[in-house]
Amino acid sequence: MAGICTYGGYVPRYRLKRSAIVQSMAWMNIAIMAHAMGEKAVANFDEDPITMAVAAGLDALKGVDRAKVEGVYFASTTMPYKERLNAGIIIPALNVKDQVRAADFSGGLKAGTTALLAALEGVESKRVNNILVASADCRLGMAATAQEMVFGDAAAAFVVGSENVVAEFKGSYSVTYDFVDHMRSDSAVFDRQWEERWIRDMGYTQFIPEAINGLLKKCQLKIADCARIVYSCNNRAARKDINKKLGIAPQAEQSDLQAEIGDSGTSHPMVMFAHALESAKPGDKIIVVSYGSGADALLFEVTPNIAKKAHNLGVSGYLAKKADLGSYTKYLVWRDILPADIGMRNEVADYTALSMLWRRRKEVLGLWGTRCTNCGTPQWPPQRICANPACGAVDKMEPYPFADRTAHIISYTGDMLMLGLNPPLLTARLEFEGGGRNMFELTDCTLEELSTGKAMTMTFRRKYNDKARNIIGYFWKAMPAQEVK
Amino acid sequence: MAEGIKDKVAILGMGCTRFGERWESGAEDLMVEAFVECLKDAGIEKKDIQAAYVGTCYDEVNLGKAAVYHGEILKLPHIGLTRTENFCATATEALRAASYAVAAGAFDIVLALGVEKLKDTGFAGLPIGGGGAYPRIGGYNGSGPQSFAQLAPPYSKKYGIPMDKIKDAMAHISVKSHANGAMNPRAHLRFPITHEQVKNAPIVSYPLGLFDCCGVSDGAAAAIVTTPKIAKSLKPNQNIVKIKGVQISVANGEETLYKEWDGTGLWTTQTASAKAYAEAGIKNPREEINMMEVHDCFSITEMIIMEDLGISPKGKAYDDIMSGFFDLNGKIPCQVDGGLKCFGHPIGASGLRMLYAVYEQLLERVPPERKVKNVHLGLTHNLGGEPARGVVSVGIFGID
Amino acid sequence: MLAVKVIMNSCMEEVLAFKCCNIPNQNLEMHVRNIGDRPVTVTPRFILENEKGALECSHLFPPWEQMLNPGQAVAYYCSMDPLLWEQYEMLTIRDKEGNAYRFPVKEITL
Repeated sequence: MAGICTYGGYVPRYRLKRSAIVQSMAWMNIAIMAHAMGEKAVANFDEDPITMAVAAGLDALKGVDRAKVEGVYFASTTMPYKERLNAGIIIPALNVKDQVRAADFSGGLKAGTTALLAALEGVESKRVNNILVASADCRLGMAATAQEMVFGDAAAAFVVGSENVVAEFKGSYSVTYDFVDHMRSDSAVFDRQWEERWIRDMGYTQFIPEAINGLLKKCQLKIADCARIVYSCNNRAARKDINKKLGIAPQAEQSDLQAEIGDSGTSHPMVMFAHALESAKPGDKIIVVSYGSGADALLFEVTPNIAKKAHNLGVSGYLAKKADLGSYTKYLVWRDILPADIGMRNEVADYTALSMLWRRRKEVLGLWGTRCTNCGTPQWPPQRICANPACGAVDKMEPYPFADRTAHIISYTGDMLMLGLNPPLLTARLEFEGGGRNMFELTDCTLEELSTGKAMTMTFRRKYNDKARNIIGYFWKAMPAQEVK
Repeated sequence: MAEGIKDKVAILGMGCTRFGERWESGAEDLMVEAFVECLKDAGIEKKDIQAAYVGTCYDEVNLGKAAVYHGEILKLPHIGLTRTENFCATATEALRAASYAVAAGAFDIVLALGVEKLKDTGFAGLPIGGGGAYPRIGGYNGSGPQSFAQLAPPYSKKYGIPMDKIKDAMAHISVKSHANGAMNPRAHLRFPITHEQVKNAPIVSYPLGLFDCCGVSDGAAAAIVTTPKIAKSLKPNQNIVKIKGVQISVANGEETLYKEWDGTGLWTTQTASAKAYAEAGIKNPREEINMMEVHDCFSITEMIIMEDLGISPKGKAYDDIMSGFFDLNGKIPCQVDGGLKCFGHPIGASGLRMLYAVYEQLLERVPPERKVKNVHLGLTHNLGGEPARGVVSVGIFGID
Repeated sequence: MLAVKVIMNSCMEEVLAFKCCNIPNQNLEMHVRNIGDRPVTVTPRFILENEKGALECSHLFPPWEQMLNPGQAVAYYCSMDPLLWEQYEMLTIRDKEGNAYRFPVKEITL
């Protein structure tokens, strides 16, 4: 039997109060007031769907032997690359081996559940044993729209397999319709959406019940048999209608986290599902429904293994780790909506040497270093000549991973001079536990939080966005170590 | 057995432009300005020069790679012209190469020149880059202040000196340098400042404030070197400035990759100065050195260099600084011409500007208000790159 | 309690413009010192007053609040026409809590 072995989530640190958007844009469209409550999660300037999927993936992989992962499926409608396999960038960052299958699932907001179905059915077929499915979106709504208010950034990941599953896959029911409630063609940056009331009446309240009813009939269940109904739908009136139509009791309706995150697109039903699993009990039947170009409905049953799942931060852990973004213009600049100059000194003519990127991909995308087998000294970046002055051995190195190690600050600063997108630029010289050290940029923290000796962990982020050549590069930064309870 | 070059090389003449925002001058003009003054001071003709070493760091905005275009400007008589570069230690490298040519007996009269025209970049500060193709895809970004600012937190912790007192010492350093620079017609910033103005100024890279960081400017400086015998024959009626030692040390990865370096001092300064003292026969630098020009790109650097040079005991630079030990009327005046703080830092020229400050003091060519008394031995310290990934050259010069 | 000292047309104007901050025309330098016994958070603005009216100056650099412990001081800078400055009698700055600190302009100007 196939199912969910582990689950994880990720919500970016920064939250923008919706009232801040209203203050800036209500003059143009008063109707956005209808969505003014709560806050939306905003990915940092150095985050994107790939980095968020990595964060959610690392969260899901706690306690999992990476060598067991045989595939990575990534779902998003805001992939950074049209062509350069996005899942292929995620793989080395998760320290998954190269001999795996991988795919990008895209095109519509139900791509996440589609990827999940493909993984589950692959495992059921016994042709593959474990697949990690990750989903993330950073969708943009135009200024003065409901979408801008409602969208939020988040990610979720699941390891799908057949051993020690915590939630067994029981069946699914899918409908696919070219229902163009919103769309984004090849060169469009923003979503274009039709009238909300029409979407409510002809979309949400039609497809979601159709998928759920189809699933219930197929699995011979009633709605009351299900402990949790998880469905992504950011229209309040539609939710009321669906709940009433299907008889979903208030305690069974999984919160859609609109006030805390917003609608995170493809990943949203997955984020809600990961959140639901955190408080699920053995025997619970959970229906997970996506919506977008139709709907997928999946049925899971929670097993006693859920008590044995390794501790991780999860959606609720990341929900609690938040900081106020402060200003709407910061969001606009970070998402390239408002052009801002980062200074001529940053106009370096540095191209990306792709041949070098390939040669050093394990070091750059995976933070692999070397350890000298002669004296045991770990060192990053990989060296051929040992840095230990008492050793100096040549070519006696073995690969050594740093990405999952805690490090401590030797020295640090906050640099106001480097024009960047979130000044001051924080950097620190870090010494890894077990050995090895170097200088790294920091993220998701403030200068005031830093001190010599502070524990830090590594996080996968965008290193640069070369707009002249359309190249986005990835690397690792450090952030304060997070406690996992 | 190699014995170094002590007393084998003499400085025959020097030139130094006014440093600053030289909008009217390109790199070519600055080179000619320094060269002409140097030649006149040396009292020789251009055709007497037998080899030249020219230093520039940012070839992209100066005269390009190699030394070919420099040769075209100076119109030297088809002699060997070589470009030297080692980040901010570039000019001292030009001097070092020129000195070895003379000491080896390969040439009798050699030119060393450093030039940097940075104000054609279009912005204040240094262009980022210089680390090859890798820093684009991996590693970290950081300005100059970024890596030097990081000396402060571990130093503060190790010696138990609160950051506020370190800020006081840094302020004293800036006040002292600006007071000296105010009297120097070649400096860019020529006004005194107060301790309060320095301490209350905005932070650039914690804990470095506005006055703890030097600015970037244009400039050139040159020296003509020869053997002491030839120098004495050409200038029998004056003191001859001789090179007592020039040594260099480059970081080797231990600081950045291995565990022993604690971030509180520059191993390269310690090793280069130890070697330079040995070459010059100096046993007790604190007693024997009379003046210093050090790399004060950032005040924290100047503070810690005092210990790395073996002048102040470890952890005691604060006490020396605050007691006025390095002030113009102190025991070992430091930055007597105003230093990088007042001249700005044209990368490829600063090392020779430092030598110029020592040279003019040794030959007593300065007005009384900025004269260092009883100078026999002066030290220059020129640092390039970052504290843990850098190059340091220490030069010792004196008259007998 | 705060103490304020103002330097008009100080050398800081050249330094702020020349060095990497690249901020021109900051010819007024204002030092604010906490001479009381509790922390005060200073706000980046002041009001000038004379019998004819008031002038609000909220274009100070750096444009953020700064917390001063007892004995600590910080400097703010701004662009100010010296002739305009001379026309005013009182300068008021406020802390984060809204407390006002008033100073006669002539007394605080060096």
